[in-house]
Amino acid sequence: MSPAVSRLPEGAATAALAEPVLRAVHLNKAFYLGETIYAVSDVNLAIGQGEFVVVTGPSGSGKSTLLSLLGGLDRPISGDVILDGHRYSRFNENGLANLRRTKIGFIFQFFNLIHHLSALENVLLPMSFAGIPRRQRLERAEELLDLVGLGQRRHHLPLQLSGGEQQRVAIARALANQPKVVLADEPTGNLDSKTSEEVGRLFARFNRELGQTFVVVSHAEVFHAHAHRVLHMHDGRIVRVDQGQRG
Amino acid sequence: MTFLALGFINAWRNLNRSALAALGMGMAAAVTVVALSLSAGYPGGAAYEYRRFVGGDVLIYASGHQVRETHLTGEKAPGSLVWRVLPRDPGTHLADFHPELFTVGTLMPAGSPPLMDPDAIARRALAEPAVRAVYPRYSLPALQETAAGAFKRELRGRNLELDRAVWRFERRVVAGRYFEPGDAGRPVALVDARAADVGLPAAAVGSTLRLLVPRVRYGPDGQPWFDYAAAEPVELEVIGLYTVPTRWRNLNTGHIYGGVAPAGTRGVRQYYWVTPQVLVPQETLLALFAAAGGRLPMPVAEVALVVHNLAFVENAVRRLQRLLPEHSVISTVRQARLANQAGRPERAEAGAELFQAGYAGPAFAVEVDFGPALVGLVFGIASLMMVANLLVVVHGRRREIAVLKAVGAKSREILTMVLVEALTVSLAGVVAGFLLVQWMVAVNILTSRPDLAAVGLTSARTLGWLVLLAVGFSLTFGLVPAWRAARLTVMEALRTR
Repeated sequence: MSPAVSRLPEGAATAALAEPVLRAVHLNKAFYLGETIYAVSDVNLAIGQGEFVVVTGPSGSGKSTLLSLLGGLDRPISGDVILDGHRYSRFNENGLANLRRTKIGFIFQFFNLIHHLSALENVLLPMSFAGIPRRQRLERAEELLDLVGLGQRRHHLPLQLSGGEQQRVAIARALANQPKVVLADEPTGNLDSKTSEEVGRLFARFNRELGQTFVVVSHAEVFHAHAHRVLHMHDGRIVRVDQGQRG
Repeated sequence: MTFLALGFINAWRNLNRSALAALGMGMAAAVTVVALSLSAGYPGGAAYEYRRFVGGDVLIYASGHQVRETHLTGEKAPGSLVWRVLPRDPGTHLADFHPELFTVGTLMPAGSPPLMDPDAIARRALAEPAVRAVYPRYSLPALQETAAGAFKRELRGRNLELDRAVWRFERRVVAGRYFEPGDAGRPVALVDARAADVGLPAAAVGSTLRLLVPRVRYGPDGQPWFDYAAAEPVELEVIGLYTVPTRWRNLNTGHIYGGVAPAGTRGVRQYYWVTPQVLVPQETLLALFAAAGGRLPMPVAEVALVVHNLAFVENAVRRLQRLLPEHSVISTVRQARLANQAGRPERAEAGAELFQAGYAGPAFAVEVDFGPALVGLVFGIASLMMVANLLVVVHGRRREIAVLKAVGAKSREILTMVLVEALTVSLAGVVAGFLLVQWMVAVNILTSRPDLAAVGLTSARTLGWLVLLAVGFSLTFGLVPAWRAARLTVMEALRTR
C-alpha cells in the first residue's frame, strides 16, 4: 500500500495546540514479509504540551509501531519525529537513548518492571541513568510512589504486588525524570475493568495537575473520557481524529 | 556506575544458574595455580632458599671444578682435567656444596680460562631461549683478623635490583635492614647471623666490620690473582644480619623438607646454610675491586642465570652446556641435591642427620612446555561454558534488558552490564579454584605432607596471573552474549509475554 494513499486532510491531526511538544512528519515504517507492508504510512502528527491523546484502532493498525517510532525505540524508513525541538534523524542510538532517559516515559501493557528490584528501586532506575543525585532521586521516587498510592508498599517486589499496583509503579517510573511526554502502550490491556478505571483516572490526574503530556495507545474506551483527542488508525494511517471528552 | 552495579547484582542473583560456568573457571584456576607453581619451581620446593641465596636458577662456572658424573664414579679422563688450588682464589663458596671438594680451588681443563668476562658469557647464554636473565656473581676474597686469629671471609656482591624483583632477599634479614637503593656503592654489609655456628666471629648490627682485602695483581697471562701480602684494610658498616634457612626436619617422623618450617609447627628442627660470606651491594664490591687495583670490567668465576620455567631447567642446562662447552653449567637445584646427598651444606648440624637417599636425574626430558597450552585449553573450555550459560541467562532476561533500553540504557551500557556479569562469574570461579588449592595446601601441611603442599604454594604473581586470565577470557568470550543483549530489539521483546 502506498503511503500517499488515503491521507487525512492536511492539519487534521496537527491542529490541536499551538506549541507542539511532539511532532511526526511524514512518518513511514515498512516491513518486508514477502511484500512490503506499511505499518505506519505517512503519518503527520502534532501533540501539544499538556495534551492527552489516545490512539486507537484495530489490531495490526500500526498503533504500537507508531508509538515505538515516537519513542525513538525504532527508526522510520522515512519522515522524522521531533521531540521538544530535537529531530530524531539527527541522533545516533546513543543520542536517542539520552532522549529516552530524559524526555520520554514509557508505560507498557505487561508493566515490565524489573522483578528483582523493589518498587522504589524500579522508580529510581531511570533517575540513576540520568545521573540525578542520590538524595534527590530518592525524594522524588518516594513522592511519586505516594502520588500513585503505593507509599506503604515501596519496598515490595513486583511479584508481591497486584497487576494494578505494578502498573502504578510503572506509571511512577515513567514520570520519574519529569519527561516531556509519556507514551503508554495498552496500559490497561492486562488489567480488569475496575483497575483500568483507576489507571485511567491516574493518567487524567497527572495530566490535569502536573500538565503531563500523554500519548496512550489503547483499545479501551476508559481513556476517552480523559482525552483531548482520539486518533483512529487503520492500515498504518490516521484515518480519523475525534475530539475527546476534554477536547 | 549503575550498570556496573546491575551487572554485579545480576551475577550474584543468577549465581546458582551460573554455578557450572563458575565451577569450570574454578577448575581452570586450580590447573593454572599448579602449572604456574611448577614453572616457578614451587616456592617451598625446588631448592628455593638455595636459589634465593645464590641468586640464580642455573650457575655457570668458569671451568670444570664442578664434579660431573665421571668424577663421581672416578672415571676421570686421563690428562683432561687438573685440580688446582688457585693462587688467585676465586672465592667460590660453592665448593662447599660439593660432596668431595671441600677446599677452595678448581678442577679445570688444562689451559682453560679460570675467570670469565661476564658480558661475553651473558651474550652467549642469552642465545638460549629458556634463559630470562644473566647476572654475574662478583666476589672478592678477604681476611678478618681478630684476637682469636685470622678468618677467611668472602665479600659477595648482591644485585639489589634482582633481589628486589625476584628473590626478595630482604625476607631473610633477621636483624637490622636489607640494602636500600641508596646503599649502592656505600661501605655497608650484611653478615650471617649464625656465623658463630661455624666458628666465625659474630657481628652486631651497627658495628664496624674490619677486613683485609688482598691487592689485585695481574699475571703474564693477563689473569688477575690476589696478593695477600699486600692486603689493604677495609671498614664496612654492618647494617643487617641474615640467615639462610634451607631445610627442616620433622622430629616425630624424621622426614626432611625443603625451605622454612611452617610457622607454629611443633617438633621441628630448622637447618641453616652458614657461610663466611659478607654481602655488600654489587656496586660496592666493584668499587672495592677497583680500589684494590683491579681493572674493570671485573672478571668473574661464576655467572647466575634466571630461567623462564623452572620445570624445564635441566633441559636448559643441557642446552647451555652444549652452547658453552669450556664452562661448567649446573642447576642450583641439582647442585643443592648433590650437596644434600652428602648431608651438606648445612655445616652447623651433623652431616649424617641430613644424609638422604641419592638423587636421580630425570629419566627423560620433555622438551615442550605444555603448561601454557594446558592453561589456555582449560580456560578456553571454561569460557565456552560461561558463554553458553550467559547466552541462556541473557535470553531469559530479554524483557528486562529491553526495559532498561526503553528507559534510556545505551547499547554500550548493556554491553558493560553483561560483561561485568561474565567477569564477576569468572572471578568468583577463579577465586573459588584458588581457595580450593589453598585449602588442599592447608590439609597437606596439617597432615605433615608439606612436600605436596609446596606445589600449591602460590604467590601474588600467581594470583595476578589468575585474575588476568579470568579478566581476559571472560571479557573476550563474554562479548558474544553481551553483544546480543546490546542489539536487542526493544519493542519485539516487550510485546511478548
